[in-house]
Amino acid sequence: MSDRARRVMTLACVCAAVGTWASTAGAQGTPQGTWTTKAPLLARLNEVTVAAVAGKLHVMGGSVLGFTGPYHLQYDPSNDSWRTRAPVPRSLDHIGSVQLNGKIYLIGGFVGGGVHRDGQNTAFEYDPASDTWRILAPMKAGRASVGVVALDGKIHAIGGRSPDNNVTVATHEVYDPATNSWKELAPLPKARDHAAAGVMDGKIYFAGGRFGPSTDRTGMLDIYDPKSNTWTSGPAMPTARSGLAGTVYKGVFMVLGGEMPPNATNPENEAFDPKANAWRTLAPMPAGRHATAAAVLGDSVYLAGGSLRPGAGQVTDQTIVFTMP
Amino acid sequence: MRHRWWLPVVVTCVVLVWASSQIWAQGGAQGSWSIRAPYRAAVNEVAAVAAGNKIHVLGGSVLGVAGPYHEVYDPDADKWSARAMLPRGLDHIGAAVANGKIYVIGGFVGSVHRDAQNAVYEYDPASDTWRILPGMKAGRASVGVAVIGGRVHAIGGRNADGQTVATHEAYDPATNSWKELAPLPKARDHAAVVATEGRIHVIGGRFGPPTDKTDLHNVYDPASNTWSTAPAMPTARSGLAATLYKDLVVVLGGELPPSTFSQNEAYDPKTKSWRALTPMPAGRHGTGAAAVNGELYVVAGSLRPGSAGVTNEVLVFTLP
Repeated sequence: MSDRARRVMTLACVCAAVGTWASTAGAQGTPQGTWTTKAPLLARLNEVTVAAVAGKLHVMGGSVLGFTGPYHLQYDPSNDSWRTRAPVPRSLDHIGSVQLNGKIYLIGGFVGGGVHRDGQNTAFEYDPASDTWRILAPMKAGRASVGVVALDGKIHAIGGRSPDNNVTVATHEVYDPATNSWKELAPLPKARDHAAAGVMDGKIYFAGGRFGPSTDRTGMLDIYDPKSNTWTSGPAMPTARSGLAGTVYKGVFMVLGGEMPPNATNPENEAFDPKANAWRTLAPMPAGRHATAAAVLGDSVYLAGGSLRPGAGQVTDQTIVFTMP
Repeated sequence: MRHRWWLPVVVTCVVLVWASSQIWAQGGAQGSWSIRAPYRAAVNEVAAVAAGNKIHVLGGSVLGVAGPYHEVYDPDADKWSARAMLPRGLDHIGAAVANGKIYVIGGFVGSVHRDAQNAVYEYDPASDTWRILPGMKAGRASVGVAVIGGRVHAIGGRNADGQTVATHEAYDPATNSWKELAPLPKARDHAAVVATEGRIHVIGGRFGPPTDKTDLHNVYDPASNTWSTAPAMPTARSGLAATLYKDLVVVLGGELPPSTFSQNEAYDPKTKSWRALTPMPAGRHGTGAAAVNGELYVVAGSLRPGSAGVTNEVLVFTLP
């Protein structure tokens, strides 16, 4: 090969490499979505649950310095302000919650005064119109850090941690508001808690979490089909983590945050797209956090409270909001 | 006559140098503020005491719910850590230290000034344990607590009906019993109560709502079981934090809707007079004050009246 030919070949290779790199970068692009902050919570609360109903965001339960309270705050996006609402019937943290037919359902929770203590079988219903709580039929056994979603007019409570802190459960029960009763369904393939749960296209998605201690985390994605009452496996979440916030937003199942003791929390914001049967990376949160929860309000996803460090380290009053086109 | 164009310049310079030196001298003499590692939660209506060269912060409320919070601050490490929680969740408790043990007295169960308790607890820092002691004769909170002659005095406060009281009881650890003593000349709570030189000073506070505040300064003499009046506090206020610091009775903060007080005023029992010290960086109330290692600590509380602007700030005041 002549020198000239070699130079042409080299140039061609460099061009191809640059072109490939550029197209890859272009395809991946900047992770989608943007974050903003709103008025902070009226307190720094850890291990809260979050639900949206009637155009407002509710933050419920949680703990301060290991003490658990019946905290209930409501955010009004029209004037960017928080106010207190009727306290939860019991002081609990790590509650699971979901909105259904204009009401909020709170399921399970720990009593506090220690880490993951004494998971409860409690179920409460909140009516925002009257600002009142109703005590519902309990689950068959106490658990907390349970995944709670609404599907076909019923409330599913999946996984969690039993009153014995060391034991995660695979239990899957469903609550029917029409009969105020619980029924047992196919358990999770593998017992865990501190996971994220959401509903898309008539199926429940259950991602990440931990099998035992916070170091024993997973990226597992399990998908529940109510027609067959069976679980199948989906593609694993790119970043295995637990202590998650999750919600379904614009056709994807978003999983946010997590904790990795002793020092780290996850800023990751990863979303499972059922149409592509694949995960994609969205714009990470402004800072890692866990012990918070997410709900969709208007055109955005809201997260409030939680901790910026593992456990109860650096408990925050931040309200952060994610929006994507 | 030639124009002395430089004269105004020189005069201005001299004045500026003099003024700045005065400001510096005053700032130095009146003390200065700095910031330390924040409390690990934003909590309102706490109590603070110094025991064993550490600061203990006790009780308090979050969103109107009183919690059994108890954290200890190590000044050498600039670090907070958890200690055994109070036997129950209370805010507006009174606290003081006798013989190395912390006494926690009274308290509300939640906002606002709800259901005052007659609870009395003793904390032993060596074993990190609480003991439940005989209760006071009736529930009260926002009670002033000070130790004199080994006895724990509980003065004034607000009862379960929300009324202020003049009650004065003293607990004797040796006999594990309470005894009633001469009541305050005028019923009040949210006051500053500090013991020094064998006497107890009760300063400021309120007779009813926060607007009904006072600058009253009463002094209790245990030898005669009588109260006398001392020079009034310069700024009438309530919702105070107070501690003995460098032989001064230092009274900090307070609330009066729609704002809070940043005042830092000190009573010197030797000269029987008040002096104004450098105010806090921002007004606050519902906070606790305690002194250790030549430093005065102000921990948590609210930057605005009631339970607005609850903070985790830890401020340190030092006088030369």
